[in-house]
Amino acid sequence: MIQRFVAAAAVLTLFGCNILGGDAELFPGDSTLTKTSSTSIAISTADSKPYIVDVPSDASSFAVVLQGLGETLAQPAKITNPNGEVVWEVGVTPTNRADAYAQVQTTQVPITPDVAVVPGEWEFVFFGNGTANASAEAVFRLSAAGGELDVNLYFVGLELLDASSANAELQAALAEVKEILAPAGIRLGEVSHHDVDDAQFTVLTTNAVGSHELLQMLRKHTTHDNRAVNIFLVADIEDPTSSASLLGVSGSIPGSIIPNLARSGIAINMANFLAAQEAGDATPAVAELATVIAHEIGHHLGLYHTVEANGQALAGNLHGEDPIRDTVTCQDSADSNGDGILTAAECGDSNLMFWSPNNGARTLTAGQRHVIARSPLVR
Amino acid sequence: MRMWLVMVVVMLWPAVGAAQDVGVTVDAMLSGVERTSTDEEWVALGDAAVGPLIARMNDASRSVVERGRATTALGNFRAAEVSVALRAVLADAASPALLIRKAIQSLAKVEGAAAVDAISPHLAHRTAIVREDAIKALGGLVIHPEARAALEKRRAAEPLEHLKRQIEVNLQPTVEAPQ
Repeated sequence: MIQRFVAAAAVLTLFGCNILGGDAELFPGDSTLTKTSSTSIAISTADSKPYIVDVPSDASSFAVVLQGLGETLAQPAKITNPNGEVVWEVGVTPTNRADAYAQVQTTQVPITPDVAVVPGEWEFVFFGNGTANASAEAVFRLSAAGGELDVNLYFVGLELLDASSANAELQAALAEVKEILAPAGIRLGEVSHHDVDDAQFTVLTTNAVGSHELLQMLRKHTTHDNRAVNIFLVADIEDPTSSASLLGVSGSIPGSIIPNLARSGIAINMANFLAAQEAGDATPAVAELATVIAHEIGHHLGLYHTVEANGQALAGNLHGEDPIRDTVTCQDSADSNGDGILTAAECGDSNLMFWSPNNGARTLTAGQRHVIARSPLVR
Repeated sequence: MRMWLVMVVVMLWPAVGAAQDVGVTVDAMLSGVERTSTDEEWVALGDAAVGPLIARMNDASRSVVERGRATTALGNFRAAEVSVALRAVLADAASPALLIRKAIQSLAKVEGAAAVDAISPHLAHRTAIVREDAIKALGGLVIHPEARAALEKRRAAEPLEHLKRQIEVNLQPTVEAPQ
């Protein structure tokens, strides 16, 4: 089997493209997640040469991970499935989504139930806003939808909370996260605890799409090399431009499947929880913490916001919201007070992935459940 | 009499409505998981936002992050009540650490060198990240003798190595003091 793929890759590389199927376990001993060997891809402002992924018949999802992008923002220009259907073309296809990122970019199929994981040869063509000699690997999830999601918790220099003192309220928050994800058939599996003694990241500086110190921290401190979502608990997350606090942030959407990369994790602002704990009882902060952790896990497993604050204005009217059909569509006309911000009340949205958590939203649609249940991180 | 009342109500109605609208918009701008409002967006809202922002900063029933966002936003306004409100947060020993950090940042932005007296006591705050913000804020004002003196005084007392180094870096001469 392995020899067949290697031979095919060798032959087709001669013809100017790469064809690859799963030929190794991403995590030794786990045969339900395989990966291809690494292939060089020259990224530029023009279309790259095709990168062809041979998706096995038993794959429930797959992802292509580009590494070594440096500061170049890269993404797929076009994705074509084995039936010759274009399932993604940048700026053209609103029914799918694959955003541009620097350093590490992950494209996941499916990111919407509309795109089926058809076995056979998929063609990916990439481009960027500059040049980079990237390497690409494809990862295949070879198990049915749903399963366990392991969690690595990293305590980043929190004065009142560390790995050994992870308290009852934090456990209560994780129990609520479990309840939120359960309708998707996802169970929280093993939860490991780790201390990170690095004052540089206790107050984390990053913007909403994952930048600056977030990427440094994820690369430097994601030490637990397993199939899990890495959750970094920090004292504050500050936007580098405004200094205002973010509640949480994901390395990317979706996050990197391959561990120890700049986008393989999420960060959670613990300021509300720590303030409540310092005041004597963290219980009032549990519900919001659970919602934020679940929201960021949602991003990491492939979900976008159902609606952005500025609605359709984002990204030239094409991607003001996610590509999933059964989530709420909220047009600019819903902005009843005309302040340019779409609130949960104006949109009538109570979804976990709404841009704002203020409505206590926790529901996930069938379409969203379809996507996260197939995330390669869920085993 | 009745006529006068009707006229007063009619005259006040738009103002009351406008104040409510600003409050709603302020709340929307303070929400968001990953979204924060920019300085430009706050400035565009005008001084009508100051009252609602101060109210939200001081509202203990709200989450600390939301109150902190209001505190950060206040750094964009120069109305006199902003300084008073930020100084009150810094003077209150019960203020949560995050709120103090944001008040330090905003007061330094609003008052410049005049903020040194309110910020300096926090060089000795029990929480390391509060001390760090006080060091950074005074470091940004180090060309002023009061800020330099406060950092020099703290240099020997700071127990954490990384904060001690940060004080040293901020005390290094970079710009000539104004003549």
